[in-house]
Amino acid sequence: MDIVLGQLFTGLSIGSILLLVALGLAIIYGSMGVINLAHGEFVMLGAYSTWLLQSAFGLPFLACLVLVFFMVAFAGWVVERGVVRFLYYRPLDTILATWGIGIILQQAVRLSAGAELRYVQTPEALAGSIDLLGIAIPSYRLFILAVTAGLLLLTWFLVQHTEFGMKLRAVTQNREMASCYGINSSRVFSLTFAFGSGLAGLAGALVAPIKSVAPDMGTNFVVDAFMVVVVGGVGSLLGTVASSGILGGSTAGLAFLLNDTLAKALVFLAVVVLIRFRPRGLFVDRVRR
Amino acid sequence: MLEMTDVTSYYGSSPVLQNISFSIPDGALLSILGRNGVGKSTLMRTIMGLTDRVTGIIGLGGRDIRPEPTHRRAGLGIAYVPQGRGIIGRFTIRENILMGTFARPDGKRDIPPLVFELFPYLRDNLNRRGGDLSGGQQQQLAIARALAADPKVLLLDEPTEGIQPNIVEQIERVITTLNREHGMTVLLVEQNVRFARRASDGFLMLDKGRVAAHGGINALTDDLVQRHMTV
Repeated sequence: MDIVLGQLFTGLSIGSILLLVALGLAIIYGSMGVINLAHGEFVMLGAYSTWLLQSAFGLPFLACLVLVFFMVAFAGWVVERGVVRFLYYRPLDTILATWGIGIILQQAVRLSAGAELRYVQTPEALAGSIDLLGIAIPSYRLFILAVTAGLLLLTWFLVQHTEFGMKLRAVTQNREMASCYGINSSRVFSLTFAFGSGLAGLAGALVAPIKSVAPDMGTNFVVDAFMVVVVGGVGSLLGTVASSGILGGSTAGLAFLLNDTLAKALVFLAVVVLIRFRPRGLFVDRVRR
Repeated sequence: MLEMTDVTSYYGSSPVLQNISFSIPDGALLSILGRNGVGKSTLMRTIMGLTDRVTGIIGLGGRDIRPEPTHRRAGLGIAYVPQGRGIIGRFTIRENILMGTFARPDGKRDIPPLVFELFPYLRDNLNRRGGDLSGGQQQQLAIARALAADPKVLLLDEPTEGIQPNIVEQIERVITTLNREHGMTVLLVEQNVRFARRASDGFLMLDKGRVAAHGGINALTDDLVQRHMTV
């Protein structure tokens, strides 16, 4: 029983980090159709920003989170205004350009902050663990779970229940008609890109205390994030949530039965097979246009 | 007053419309006629700023709107109902109509009562998805969305094309009502010459991307129709 519960929590924990990293990407890819290969680097920027704010300015972790969101969102906004906006509806060029931006960001960080690993302190209040149903659960993992749920809710509310969200959905589905009804689609896109980047930065800040902070840390995250989004179905927030859960759960389960590396490989294989038969992912919104 | 002076409109580097000049006084209804592919829809898209490049002057109320981006033109009081209707399939009827209000310069977000007077079906089905409606219902919705923008000028691109006959009649009535009773300026792309004659004040006949004839509706002779509209 303990083992099952423990595994369940590990699965949830992995899933919540997957979701956290994928959420920003899901918004950007799902609503703007931009394949942002620099997404992992925004996660990395978030982690480094946290490290910088914490070690150089001694800011408390929670304050860092808020600041990091805005810092990385601003970086995202600059990238959108400077590069991405010229490449809408040119997917291949976007992939190449964002990949290049990713490399530039990596090198910039390597040159300025150094190539060695950096460490971010877990806040003291979250350093311990909590007994839940007889198993010890690290408080910080629980914290991540809660923040992820909060961010998910916030994103859902923003997209579904605000005027900005409605404009974004209109632009996503018919950019021309959206602008014919007064919606400034390029402004909507740059704000959305900034929001998605900010979420990536926040993800980086949150994983910084439990993963090593290094200039090339983004690479793994971007792969995971794309896996989540593609399995879930592009443009479906629910799909992103479900696929994070499924991928997190199966990774945890397989890692327990076999080992980490094999688990990862098997999950990848399963994703490839799934995409073969359901190329549009698990959750597809069918509607007549 | 909406007017074009020597307007040439391009897709890529090919001019689809050439040297178009016409004007339509406030509160008038102008029918744009011509065969398929002569540039009628492009004319509407040019007014909205949806073609790649335009030269000449597009005047609205004495001001050249050519430099304005599409979303600002909407704010100046031009509402566009495109061919194919451009309904947002995943939006509910309510959301589709509400989207029209985003073009309002006064920032109001309420749906004008006139919309539901004209289209009671929409009022009664506010939560249905736009994508689930029939062609005729979508056309009503597209006009409703345009009216929610509280426009001065309405651009209607073949509003009765591919629609069941009972709704065609209703839509024709709505167009006439909007023009005559509510003083709305209407630019109408139409294949049905009978309706055009009945409803319009003036006409603009296009052929091969140029103006073939332009004038009061009484000047629309059978000979002109024969020459520029029959296939």
